[in-house]
Formats: sequence, structure tokens, C-alpha cells
Amino acid sequence: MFEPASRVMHTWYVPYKWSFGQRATEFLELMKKEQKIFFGRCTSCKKVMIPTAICGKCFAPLEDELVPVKDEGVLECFTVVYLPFPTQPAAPPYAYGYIRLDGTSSIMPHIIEEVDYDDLRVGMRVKAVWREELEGDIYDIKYFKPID
Amino acid sequence: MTKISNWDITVPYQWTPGPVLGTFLGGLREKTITGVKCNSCGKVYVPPQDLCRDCLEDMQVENFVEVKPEGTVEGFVKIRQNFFGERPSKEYLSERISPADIDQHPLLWFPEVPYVVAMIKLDEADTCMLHLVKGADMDNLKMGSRVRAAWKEETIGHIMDIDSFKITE
Repeated sequence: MFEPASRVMHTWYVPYKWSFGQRATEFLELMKKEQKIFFGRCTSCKKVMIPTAICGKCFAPLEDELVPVKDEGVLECFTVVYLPFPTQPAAPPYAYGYIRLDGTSSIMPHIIEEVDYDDLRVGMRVKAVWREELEGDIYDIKYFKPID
Repeated sequence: MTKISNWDITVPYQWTPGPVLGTFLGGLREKTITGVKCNSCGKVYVPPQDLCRDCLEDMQVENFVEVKPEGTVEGFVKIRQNFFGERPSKEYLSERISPADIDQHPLLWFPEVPYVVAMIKLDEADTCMLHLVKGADMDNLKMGSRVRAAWKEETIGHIMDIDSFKITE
């Protein structure tokens, strides 16, 4: 009778709010204020890590004061993303890696740019490139770029 | 005070309506409302479904009938609250779903609150269909109000090709 419609399009759209919690809020506010990355030190093992409520290994609380760490480190692993998907941090293609900042014991995931993707190597040194106007979110660091 | 951020989960998807519902949607694309008639009991379903809910008989695409886009309001509700917290703007959605799909995006078709959703029994149908009722004379809307389908200018084969039903008397 009629040419049947072959598809119906729809989209789930679920807005929500998310609280960063106390430590991540401090991390972002200090980052905006000082243009530095602040990590937390475990009261038990003294390792320095991304600020959370407790140390993931010891389950001991982190020290009250966060400590500044260098915005340079080593690329521990990476991937290059060519395909689009929802909630992406950038428009593909882009490289995404785990960075171990110098003197710290946890990785920091971020985008790697200013590099030919074929030249990416595990173990290469990278440094943060900061946004001109800091806004207090994780993209105050625009991306990490390889150095030396 | 901890920092709060706004996020969303936005998942675009498509589904296949199948031959029966697909034919109904194909009819809407031609600005025609169709129903399907049960082979066994003769009941006309608008919108059509795969099985007769009384006879459990499979519906056949050959048994489609065209029905007049006029009917009676059998029940209605006034929606005063957005379902999605905030209605997403076109700009907002276009960052999340492909621009080619944006104009076919059902979320953008939801009218501003308040709006009226009604069960409408078309004259030649035995079942009700759910749709919007819009118009200037909404205060006159009551059970039994006569309504008529108003079509969108551009149709794509979707239930919202019918923009809404308007009160005719």
C-alpha cells in the first residue's frame, strides 16, 4: 500500500549533575589558582597520587594539604582515536594517553597533541600545555606534548 | 562547597519498525493515516500492530485500510512539566548527534509546556492513538471533542509527521 518506513530515529537524552567531591574540587581550584597540578600524599605509604579520599593501596586517608607536582612526566601508554563516539574529549583523530607525572604514583589520563601519531612511544617525555585563561576544569591543561 | 558539573548521556539510535508499523509510517510520509484490519474479527487498529489483541491473529500488510484523519478525544492530559529537566536546544544537541540527523530529532519536536496529549479515536478505527492536541481554543477541549490531524510541511515517515490534532468543533 505504501512504501514502508525502514527506520525510526531516536535518542536517549539523560541530563544529570555530578559532584566532584571535596578532593577533586580542591585539585581543580588549586589548578586554576596556581596553574600547577596538585596531588595528594598518602599518610601511610607516602606515595603521591591523584587526589581522592583515600589511598587505593593502603586505604589510608591522604594528607590534608595537597602538594604541587611537576607538569611533566612519562607516557605510560596511549591510543589514537579515529572514530567518533559520544562523550569524546576531542574531535577525532586525537591521541589519548596515560601520563605518569614525575615523582607521582598514579597515572593521569589526558590528550596528547603536537606530535605525529606515528612518533608516539611508550616512555616518551611529555609536558602539559596550559589554557590561556584558566577555568577550573581538567581542560585547563589543553593537552600534553612531547618534550626533548 | 564541592564543584558540581552538568553532564548528560546522549545515545542516538535507530530501530526498524517492521512491515506493519513501517507501512503505517510510510503512509504518514504521504500524509495519509492508515489502519490495519484484523482478518478474523474485522477490528481496525490505528496505529496498526502486528497481532490482533483479541484474536491473536497475525495482521497482514494486504489488510491495510486508509482512514479519515478525523476523530474524537477519548481522554487527555495536560503536561505542565518537562520530562528532561530542561529541553535541550538545537545547538546543544547538534554537538552530540550528527548534524544530518538533527532535524529528525524527536526531542526537538516536544512543544513547550504546557501541552496536551490525548487519546484520539479516529472515526473509522476501533482503537485510540496517542497524539498532541494544539490550538487556540484549548479551553474548549473536553471528552468527545472533535479533532482533525494537522500535517507538518515536510514528512519523513514518523508519527510526528502529524504535527498535532486541532479541535474542529
